Amino acid sequence: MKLFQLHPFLLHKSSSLRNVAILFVALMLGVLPLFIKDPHMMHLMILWLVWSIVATSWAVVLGFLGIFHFAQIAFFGVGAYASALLTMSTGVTPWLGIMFGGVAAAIISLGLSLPALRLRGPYIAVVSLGFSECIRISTSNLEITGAELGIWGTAPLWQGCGKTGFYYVILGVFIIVLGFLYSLLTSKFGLALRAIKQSQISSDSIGIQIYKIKISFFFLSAFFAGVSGGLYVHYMSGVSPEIYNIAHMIDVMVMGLVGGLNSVFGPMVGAAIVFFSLENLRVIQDFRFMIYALVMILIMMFKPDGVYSLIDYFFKLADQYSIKHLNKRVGTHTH
Amino acid sequence: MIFNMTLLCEMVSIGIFTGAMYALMALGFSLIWGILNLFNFGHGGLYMFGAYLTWVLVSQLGMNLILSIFLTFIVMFLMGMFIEVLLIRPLGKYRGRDEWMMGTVVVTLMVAIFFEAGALSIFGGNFKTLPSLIDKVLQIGSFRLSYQMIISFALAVFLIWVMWRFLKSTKSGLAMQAMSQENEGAQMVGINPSFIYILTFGISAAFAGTAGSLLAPIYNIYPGVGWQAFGKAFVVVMIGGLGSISGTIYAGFLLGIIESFSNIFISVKWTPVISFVFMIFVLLVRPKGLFGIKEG
Repeated sequence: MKLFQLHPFLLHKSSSLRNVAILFVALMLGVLPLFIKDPHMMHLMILWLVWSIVATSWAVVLGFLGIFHFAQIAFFGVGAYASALLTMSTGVTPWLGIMFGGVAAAIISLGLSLPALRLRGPYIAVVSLGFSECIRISTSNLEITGAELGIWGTAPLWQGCGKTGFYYVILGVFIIVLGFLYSLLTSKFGLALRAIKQSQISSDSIGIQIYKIKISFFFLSAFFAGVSGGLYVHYMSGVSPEIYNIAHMIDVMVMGLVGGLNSVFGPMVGAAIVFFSLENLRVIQDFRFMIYALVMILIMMFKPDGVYSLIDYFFKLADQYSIKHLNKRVGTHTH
Repeated sequence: MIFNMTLLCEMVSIGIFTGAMYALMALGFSLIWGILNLFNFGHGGLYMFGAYLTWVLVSQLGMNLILSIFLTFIVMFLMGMFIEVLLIRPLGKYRGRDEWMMGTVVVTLMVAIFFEAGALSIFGGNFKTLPSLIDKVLQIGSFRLSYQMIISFALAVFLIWVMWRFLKSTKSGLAMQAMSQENEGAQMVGINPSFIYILTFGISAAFAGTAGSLLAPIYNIYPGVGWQAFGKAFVVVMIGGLGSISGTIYAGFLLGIIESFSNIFISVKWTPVISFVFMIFVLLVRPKGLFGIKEG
């Protein structure tokens, strides 16, 4: 069994049932605010979407490029800080600030990827840990970022946009991110990523520019994390260096790995499981990290594909059933 | 700040002292990388475990410090073997593939997190301190050095020397070196890999834990202490070159002195950033580290 086999979803035409399910989920998420009247529940939904973006952007780099790193939360924080700084100091619209946050995070990511992606093996994992620690230390020491207190008082997206407004904006961004990643990974670029992940040497020999592709995909992933950081800072109306806590990075990691790295939809499921079980079960909150540790060790040993693979297995079964059914009706046999 | 001879002596001596500790920490990390080909993110957790174990033995059970350091060494050795058998061996099916790195990173990271969370729920987040063995200060002119530091330094150097002798002149040590140089070749001449893996993990954990217990009377102990130590260990190993034992020892002392100078001349707050930037610089100039032999 391979740990992270590529999803058939990306190789073949996607099944009709899966498409229906995706549309259904998107529709449900779209109409959800009409039914949820509890503001706390709305708040949770918004945070879930924010973390889903971060977890997805982290997991695609691992799942499709095989790079395991700890800097995603640093990119998220840089996006948040950059957006807050720009909007607070120049008074431009938060939309511009969010874009700026994404670009800033992506540019910061070059500081890690340029030296570290040249090296093979697990270097990037350790170097990224030190990198995010450096960003945390710099942020909590510099005057311009408000030292330990952080920056507070950022404007909302528009005057009087409540939780519902934010929810729709973030949902929109999330869908754009997923759609973009999906189309990117099914394109020629995605093919190159897959080749690199399977064998660096042979993809090098057929003329794939490994270093360039790695860096640009990393850049993109950091951009998405930065954008979600920008959204987060305008929603929470501020940010402090606490955001760089390694605990958040571990949350993101667990979200991605529990959900599954084989598909762009996995981390979202993982984020839902981790986020809502943390929020609703206080018992879990107290022993959070011990439970994380046990669950992750068990997942790594016995079910490294994550939860989404189970859902996907169901889709596959249903497809096989419907194909059989169809064949019976048409009267042909395909094996 | 007036620069004088005393300050220079203090900086160099503190640098050498911390350097010995870094070398002790990093040796186990480097050994595991060289032989098992995995990055042990649980190394800091083991360090923390050792520090707490010594604290419990000395201040709760009232044992002698030297005796409890010795006991910590043995317990941590068993702990390392236990971790290898229980957690790393089941991942052996992925060895030699991309998944191996990913699986081991996650599992060892989770070991560290488990220890940290366990320490937090058992001992709470308060800082713990241990009384020094000899509560005196060596004074030569205006130059001061606490005896506790000298004792810890001597023990650390002794342990490093023992490790060195073990690797260079015992059969198991030579087998470990052989495994580190050429895994398959070593197996072909009849070295039992599972024995070497378990031994390596045991030694590495024992050294990490002992570093924790040697530093326990000098620094505070708290559940997150392992992360700092881990950060130092990997910077040292990267600078010295992965898998190179002598390189790790030199790099430990080098980093200790650099940090002690940076603490005085720049700021304590910026020291971690400086050592990290130094590491990046070394990696850019020499990807295999200053004294490295094996490229990653």
